[in-house]
Amino acid sequence: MKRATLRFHVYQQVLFQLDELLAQPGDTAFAKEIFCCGAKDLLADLELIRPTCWLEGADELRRCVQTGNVCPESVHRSLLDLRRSFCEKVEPQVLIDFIILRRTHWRVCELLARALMEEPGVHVRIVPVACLHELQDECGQAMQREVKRSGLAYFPFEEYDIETERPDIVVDNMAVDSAKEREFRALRIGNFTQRVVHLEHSVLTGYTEAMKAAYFRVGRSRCWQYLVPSKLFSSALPLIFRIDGNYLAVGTPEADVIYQSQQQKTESRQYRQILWDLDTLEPNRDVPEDHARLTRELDMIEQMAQRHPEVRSVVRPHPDFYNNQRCVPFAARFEQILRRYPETVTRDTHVQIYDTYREVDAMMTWMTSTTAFSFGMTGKPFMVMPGYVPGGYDTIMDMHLLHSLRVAYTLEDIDHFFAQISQGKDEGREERLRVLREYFGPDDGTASRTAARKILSVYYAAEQKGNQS
Amino acid sequence: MNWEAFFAELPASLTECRVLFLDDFLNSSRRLVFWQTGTQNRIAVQLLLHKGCDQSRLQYWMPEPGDPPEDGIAVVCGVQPRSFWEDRTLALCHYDYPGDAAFYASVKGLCIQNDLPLPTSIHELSRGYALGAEKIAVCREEILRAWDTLADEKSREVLVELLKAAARPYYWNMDMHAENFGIPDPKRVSVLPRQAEFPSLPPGRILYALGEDFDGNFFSALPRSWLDRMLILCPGQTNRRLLRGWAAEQNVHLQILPEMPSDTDGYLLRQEKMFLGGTPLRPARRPVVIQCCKLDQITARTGPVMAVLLNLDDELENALAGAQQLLARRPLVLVQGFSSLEKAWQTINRMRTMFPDAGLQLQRVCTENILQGYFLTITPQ
Repeated sequence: MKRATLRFHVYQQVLFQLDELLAQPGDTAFAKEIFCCGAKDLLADLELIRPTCWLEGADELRRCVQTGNVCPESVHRSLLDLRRSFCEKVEPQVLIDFIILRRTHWRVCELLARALMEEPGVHVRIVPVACLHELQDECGQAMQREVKRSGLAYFPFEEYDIETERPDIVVDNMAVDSAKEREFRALRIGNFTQRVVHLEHSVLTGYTEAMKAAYFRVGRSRCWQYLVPSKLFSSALPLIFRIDGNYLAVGTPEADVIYQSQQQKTESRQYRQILWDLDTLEPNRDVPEDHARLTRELDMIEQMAQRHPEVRSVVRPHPDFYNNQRCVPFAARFEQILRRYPETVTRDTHVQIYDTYREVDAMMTWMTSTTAFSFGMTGKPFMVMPGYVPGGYDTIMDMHLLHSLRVAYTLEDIDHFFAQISQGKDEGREERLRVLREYFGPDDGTASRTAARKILSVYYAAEQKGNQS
Repeated sequence: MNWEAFFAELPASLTECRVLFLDDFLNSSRRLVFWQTGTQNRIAVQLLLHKGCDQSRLQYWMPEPGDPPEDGIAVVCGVQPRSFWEDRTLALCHYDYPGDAAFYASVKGLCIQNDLPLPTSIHELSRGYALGAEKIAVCREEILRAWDTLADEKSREVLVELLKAAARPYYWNMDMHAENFGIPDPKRVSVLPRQAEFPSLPPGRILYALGEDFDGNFFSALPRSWLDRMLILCPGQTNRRLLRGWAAEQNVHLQILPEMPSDTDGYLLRQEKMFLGGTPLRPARRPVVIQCCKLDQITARTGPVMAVLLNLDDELENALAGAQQLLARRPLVLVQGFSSLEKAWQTINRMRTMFPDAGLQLQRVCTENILQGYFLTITPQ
């Protein structure tokens, strides 16, 4: 009867080491030295299950190693006992740790975590990190409460030590591998775990950031698997960004969140609602056009409130909008608009953007924003506002996609869009959805499960391949 | 190689910037006074605590107008008023300084305008350049000597590539006005699709002394025929664990001993440190006892050794000092791993002093087009 579980890769490693020690001749002094070093390391690995499982032969082996009395017969006997006992009492379990940055990322991660938990022989733990710059998240406390409520295993960030925990797979939604977030470099995930699955709350942001940081990280510029929504991503991304790694092009868990969210009923309303994605500024530096486009967006919100009082604007500021000192004048202006048009302009109060997606009828966002992709999956109409950089538009979209979208080049374009929304019209819906599906893959609520199975099958295959080669 | 042009083209932020080395600070009793509790300051404090700095030496300062200045090295985020700067050692603890050209220029302009010296950068708390890059300008003679001492043109090219890559700021120094909108051009940076060429060795044992930086990718790049006859000295338990994990995955049988090569036999109390992206992060851990042994002692137990690979960083010279008999038999010596840039030319120069007749070659290891590191081959003549 199996009584203890051990990390999958440690289990494999212990078996390998046991076989190695059993095969090692121990008659010369040098061979005994090598043997003792291997046996000590093996016993240290077994410490992971020591409190819960007693293994025959382990104490005998420990005694031999400590005293240096490596008698071939007795050592061989204790190793055989240990191997038999180990195989009987211990079973491998794939330990997967989720390192999650923000409360707003939780919903997407949760679906993938639950899908992984459903697979046999898998244990999932959630490590919500204390995000220093996200004060509205109470430095990670709010996220902790949500994880605990979900019933999934929670592991405190402050106590997380990768050397001790030794997970088989790390699912990272904050580019741990490329150390995008400086404060989490102390976790040193990339140093100790080769198996990092990169999952971003919104697929494209992560790649942009990962690319920038990974480029210069000598020897550690790639994740084991990048979870991408479609084959289009897996072929286009390595061309655009310098990412070296493997791609799981099986859909994104974010698609499932949107799918589930859209299944829920919404209250019927007499008025139409349009979501505005209010961006933030770079916290430390001037980026060309950054101020101008934020000013422009606030102008547009105000103009539309005047021209279309029948449509309600729901404004969702970026999580950093209120934390960023440089945004203070913009925040003041936004508050002013809220006071001036209390009936037509409101602030979005949902923690998860997907709840807002469900309630609104359309969206105004930026060419540079990944929300265009995720909102696009709801099937609802949206318009993208262009930002400019020297030389052209600042965009994350290619011409193929831009061609199928509405772009707000002028105020009249937005005016026209608002008029259409208030009349319940959606031009070019079929073409837009067709193109978006090329990017996002299936939107039938099965992406998380497919991704979970694929991750595990690739993991098992990689472990097996290593042991067979 | 036009060295005049190379040094003339170094970014001003590299050549002018003053640097406070964190080890110097940690070994002193001075305090760091952080101006305000901004995110970057909090991160800096977190990292300093990780490095074992005493909390009492770190202080946040939230001055009211007219408050007298605090003693200690003042650390600020961003540019602060003149009153704060005067008569104080000022370290600009800003991650973008000095790597961000625009930010550096703005600070410099303000300093010149106010007749103030340029602030000091704490390298480990800043970003933008590889560790040790600030020494390129001041170590000109040493670099030239190292370049001269290398055996062939290819090695010299590798050294120049290494220096050029280190003198280029990281991505956050993007020039948004450039044609490529700041996206680095792979042709101009150090990632080249060139594989390492390891020298072929006659049969016999290979000794690999592994210090603190285990990299499975480097091991994967090594010829399989080397691994089968390799004895690895790996004193750190974490590294040994990673090494054994790698061996189990690759189904390779490795012979490992837990000893560190040194100039004496005995035991050493050492704080483990790990390297991450060029920046040593030293978590506050308990020191570990390391068993030290002369390489001569080890080879007396193992028999003849054909080649020695040393990835020991600071311990390199001690290890070679304890290997006089081994070196007298003229094995091939490979020195690998330069955790800080200046170690590259320093090691070349020291190896030239130790092995005056040997051929020195600097090579790079790439696996799947990703740069894994450099190694110096010392071929006996």
